[in-house]
Amino acid sequence: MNAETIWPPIRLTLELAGVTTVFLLLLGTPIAWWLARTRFRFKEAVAALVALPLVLPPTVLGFYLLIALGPDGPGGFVAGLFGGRSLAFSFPGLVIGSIIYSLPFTVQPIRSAFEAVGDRPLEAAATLRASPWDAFWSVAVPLARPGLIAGAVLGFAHTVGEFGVILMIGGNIPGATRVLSIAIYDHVELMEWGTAHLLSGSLLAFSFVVVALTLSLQKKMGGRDR
Amino acid sequence: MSGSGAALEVGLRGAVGKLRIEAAFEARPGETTAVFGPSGSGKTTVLRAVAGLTRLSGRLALGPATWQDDRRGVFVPAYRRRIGFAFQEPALFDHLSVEGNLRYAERRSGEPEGDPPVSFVEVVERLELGPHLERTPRGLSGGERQRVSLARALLARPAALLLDEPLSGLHRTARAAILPWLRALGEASGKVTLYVSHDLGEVVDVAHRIAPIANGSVAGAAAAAEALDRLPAGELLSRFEAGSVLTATVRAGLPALGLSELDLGGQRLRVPGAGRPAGTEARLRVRARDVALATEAPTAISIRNVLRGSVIEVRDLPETPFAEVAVGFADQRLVARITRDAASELGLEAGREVFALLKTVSFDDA
Repeated sequence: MNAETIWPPIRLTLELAGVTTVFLLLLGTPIAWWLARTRFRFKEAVAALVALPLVLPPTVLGFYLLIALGPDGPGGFVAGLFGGRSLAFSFPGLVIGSIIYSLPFTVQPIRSAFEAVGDRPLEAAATLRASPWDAFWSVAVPLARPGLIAGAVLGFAHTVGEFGVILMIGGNIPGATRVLSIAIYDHVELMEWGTAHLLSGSLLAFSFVVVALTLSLQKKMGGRDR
Repeated sequence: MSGSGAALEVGLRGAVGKLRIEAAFEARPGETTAVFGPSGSGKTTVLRAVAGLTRLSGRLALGPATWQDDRRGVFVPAYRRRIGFAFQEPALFDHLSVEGNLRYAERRSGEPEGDPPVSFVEVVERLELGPHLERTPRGLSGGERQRVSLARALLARPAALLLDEPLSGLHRTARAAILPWLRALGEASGKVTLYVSHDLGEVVDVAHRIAPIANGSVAGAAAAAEALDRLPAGELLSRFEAGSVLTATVRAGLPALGLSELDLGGQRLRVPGAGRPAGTEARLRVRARDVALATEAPTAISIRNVLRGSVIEVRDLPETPFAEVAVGFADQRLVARITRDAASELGLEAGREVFALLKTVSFDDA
């Protein structure tokens, strides 16, 4: 058990989860807003697409991502623009995979929060000459803040905990794609129980804090309606 | 937004659920026009359509500004209309304090044009919001929320103020203090005020003109006294609410008696409440069933208010034993509901001199 085997996976995991969470909010918030507000007839089909990673085995998602990110997929084309060959087995590839995999965990709470805001505050804002863009930032976002925080926390935590997708598209490259959950798997394979205990225990505590935080935020959000 | 404001022309039709809406009326600048009718008659829908929150078809214009004209494909979104809107269920922003809600409106109200707009301080004072400015809306009572909502609408510096039963959660005395101010505010600023209500007392207090609405249909606005006189009993008004409005001048308060003495075209009236400043105008609603008629001046009687006038017309109320007798005093009129039997026994007919007996307690505390 030494610092050089413990810290790199932790640092990489936090980096991956942090970057992914930023993109999840940038992408998930407009999707959640659209799902909450649109009257598009097939919006639940779009919602199902976003939620698909909830039920899909990570290996299946990882397999398709591997093809998409590989040299012959769109990911390979994008990598080619930057002088690379493939996005698979790279940090950007992990970020893309994590965004897709964790999207439902971010979109769902934010969508619920936007739905709970309802039409009325936005109508009131319109009668006070706030443009839709103004009303979104000055009314909808502050009122949905607990949902946005919950979405960010869940997206972050879910990214920290992912295993299957990363194994499929990232492999196990120390310092580049070897994240915490994969490191634990390795330590167990090598019968390094002490290190596995330490990392697993830390993740357990982290997960508990995250879930407790999210639940209390959602309770606070529920109280907003009354 | 000066004293010479613009009139609001409404010509809208459409269907909302099962209700067919057909609204054609004009609201004049500087006046409060009450859209008055029972619940479920489409009042709120008409108001929302004027605000641009609900889409009906037709034409809508505030003076030179066309807000909607389907023939030319014009529909100005709500946030580009110079309106102030108070919802019946106040839609306050829970993430802001009371003051934050008011400042939200003020910040987006644009530059004042013409007459100075109503000030933050005055609005807060008149609506008694001073002690609540720091509070969050969630902790407020229903009446407090409505007052914040009204204040916010006023601070948006609207050219058309749209109010949907804005004071329904307030106690009658609190309402009586706010309504005359609201009416005067509209007069001073020259803006259009549309006031939706099903409460006759409120409408009498606030409205210059009334646009009655029934089953989704509004066919025009008329001067308040005239409109009330024309309202069919039983349809818009419950049978016992039919009545008329008198405008009198306060002559003096009689604190010892708890009464005020009013002047009505040279005749004297006493009404409850000594707090009215002398020289101000008092608007009184008199229910038709609270008026009795006599053909001779009565003596030795508990009723203090006896007005001398002449019969304008006698109208039978079909399918009831009653008749309504309209009595004129100078330029005002009063309606009395008496039995047909009494009307014929007294020989009431147009031009006949009569004495109208009003019970003191029959006056509304306006």
